Amino acid sequence: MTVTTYNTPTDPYHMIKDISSVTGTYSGNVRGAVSVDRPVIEVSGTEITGNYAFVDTFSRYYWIVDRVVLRTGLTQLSLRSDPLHSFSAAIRNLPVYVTRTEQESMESNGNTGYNVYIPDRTVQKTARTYTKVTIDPNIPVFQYPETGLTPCYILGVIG
Amino acid sequence: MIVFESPNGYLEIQPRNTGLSMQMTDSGYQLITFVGTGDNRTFVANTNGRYNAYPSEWTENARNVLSQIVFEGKHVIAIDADNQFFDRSIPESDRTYTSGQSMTYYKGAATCEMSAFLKTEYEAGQPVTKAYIGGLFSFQPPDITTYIGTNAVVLRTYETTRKPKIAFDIITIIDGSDKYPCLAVSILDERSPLSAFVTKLIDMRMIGDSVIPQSGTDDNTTTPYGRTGTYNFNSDKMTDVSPSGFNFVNKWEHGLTLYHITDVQASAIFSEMWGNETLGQMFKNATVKQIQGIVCLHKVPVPVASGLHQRALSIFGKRVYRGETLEALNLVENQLVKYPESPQWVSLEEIYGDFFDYAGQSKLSVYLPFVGCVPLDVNKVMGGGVKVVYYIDLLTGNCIARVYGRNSMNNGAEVLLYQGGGNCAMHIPYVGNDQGGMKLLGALAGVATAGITTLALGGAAAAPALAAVTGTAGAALAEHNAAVNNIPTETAPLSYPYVCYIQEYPERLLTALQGAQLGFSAASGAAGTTVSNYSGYTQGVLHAAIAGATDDEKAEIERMFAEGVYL
Repeated sequence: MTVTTYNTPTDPYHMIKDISSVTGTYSGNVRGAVSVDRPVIEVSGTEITGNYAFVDTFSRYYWIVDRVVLRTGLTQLSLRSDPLHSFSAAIRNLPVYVTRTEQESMESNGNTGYNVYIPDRTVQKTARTYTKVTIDPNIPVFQYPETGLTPCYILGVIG
Repeated sequence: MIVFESPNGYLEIQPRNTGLSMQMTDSGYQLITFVGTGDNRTFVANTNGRYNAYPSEWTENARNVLSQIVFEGKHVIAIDADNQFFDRSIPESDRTYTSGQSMTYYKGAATCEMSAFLKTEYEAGQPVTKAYIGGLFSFQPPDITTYIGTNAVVLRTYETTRKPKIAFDIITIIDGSDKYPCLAVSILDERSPLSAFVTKLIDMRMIGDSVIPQSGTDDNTTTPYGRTGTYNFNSDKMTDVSPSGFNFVNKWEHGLTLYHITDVQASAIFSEMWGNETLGQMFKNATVKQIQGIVCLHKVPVPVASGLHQRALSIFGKRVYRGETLEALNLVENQLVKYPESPQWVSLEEIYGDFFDYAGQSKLSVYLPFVGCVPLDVNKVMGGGVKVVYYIDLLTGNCIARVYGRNSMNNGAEVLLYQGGGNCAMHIPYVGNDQGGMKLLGALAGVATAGITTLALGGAAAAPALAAVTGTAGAALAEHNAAVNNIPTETAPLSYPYVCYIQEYPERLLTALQGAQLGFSAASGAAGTTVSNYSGYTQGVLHAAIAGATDDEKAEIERMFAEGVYL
């Protein structure tokens, strides 16, 4: 099997890792039974660098979690499967119900994006408040007529 | 398409397949009725708009004038690949628009005189803003709400002959799966420095004074959790209705009469009653009886309409006003005053445009003169409007304020949110103390939130306060409200005299990294939505049915998505 190692700065929660920095390509062997999820593979060489690897036999990408240099001039790599990158194409086709996203909705019904009208506790507010006053422009001010020559009193008389 | 005909001085505008009709005559033009249909909706609006216009010479050239319409609205619609959209030969089916293409309107235009209109020019592709049209008709259209679309319209000015022009049309706006009609009004006043056709869009669903019933049926689309709740529902409106029965004054010869008098007239009346007799004569002549015939004397802070006149006034047989030498007394025309006479909606717009504008984050109250400060349910008015109307009884000075609300969620249905009473009269003392058990009507206001008070003649107890019809209590406003609601008796004239809406909203902190690090709340997962529809930070639930993946790997994928991944 061929093991290609990389130095990736990408954190595990990114689906696609930056694998532009190849640190080596090695021929690997396994002893006895090996887990596809967490294989232990021996590669030739003692100065193996990198934190990420691809194993062609398993068609998977792995995190290099441990390196043990053996006396035989081999290095034993302990790997842990990275299913996000390994199955990224299949994952993209999966239906998903999204509860949080940074993506602005591209549709008026809020699908495929966040909904600004769903209360969100992560959006912080301070203890301060703004006050906005709007005087109703359609209702004239209540004004009592000044005394003068024009009628200004209501006089009620009975009898 | 609007077709203009001009026989015998009339211009009749009759869009095809709609009921829109107007007639232009020598004295003006009147919008009669318009009825339109489109996509399972039938709307009817009746309005009478009248303003100065004159018949124009409608020549063939004028009818065929091409005008490019400048749209001023938010997002834009409209496409016609052939750019011959409003040409008469285009059938109605081509008059629906789909977003995605540039738009050029060609439209025939009538000529009529109009008041000056603001002109602006827009470059092609320029983002547009909300537009407002007012004063064009007798009703007041509201602010134009958002129009959904993705393309900005191509805008160009147009050189025309130097006559003002106006054109109308009904267009259909397509917004996803929704379609709704808009009235497009295009006007051009070349007497202004800028010559540009300006088109305003009036969302037909939001015409305030018109009755727009929406037909439609529940689509009965079911989900595992019941109906979608998006069917077209018909909602009644709590339309304002004037109180009835306030017509017992000025009806009988010796019954209750209300006068609207001047300072000079009041002085003459009381001088006649008190100033011309000795004390002995007063009692001998039982002058004090006349004072018992006066049931009220006060000022009110609203205009009072006067009707008939009366030259003389006698109370219990004694002449107290001689109109032969003085100006005649005005009789109050209507005991009940509606203020303002034509209430209008006030738009309350979102501050943040998100959940911070609504209940739980923001608060809303309204200060009502003579009534007090009351909380409102912000959810019922935000994004829509609020309207206040007072009804005032001129006999007692009692008033009631009604607060109506509407928002954009339920097709703008109007809801009575609150009504409360008080007394707005400035009572003028005309007697030193109680006379024979009669009480001054002035002592009625009480604390503003006590609700409607009753006529003191008879001494009935004040009615209990009318609570808010609906609404969030807004407990945090209680202290503020109590401070402005403590209006002691007889100090109503000292009240703050403006109706005010008081919005309180929090200071929101939103950083640039919020989205990328935490994302925002979503509830998206329509049929057909997959991970490929998203990018950036995404948190959600999926079932990792992936061929070739081990169970541990599937569980790992599902766990990481639940925690949030970066796509």
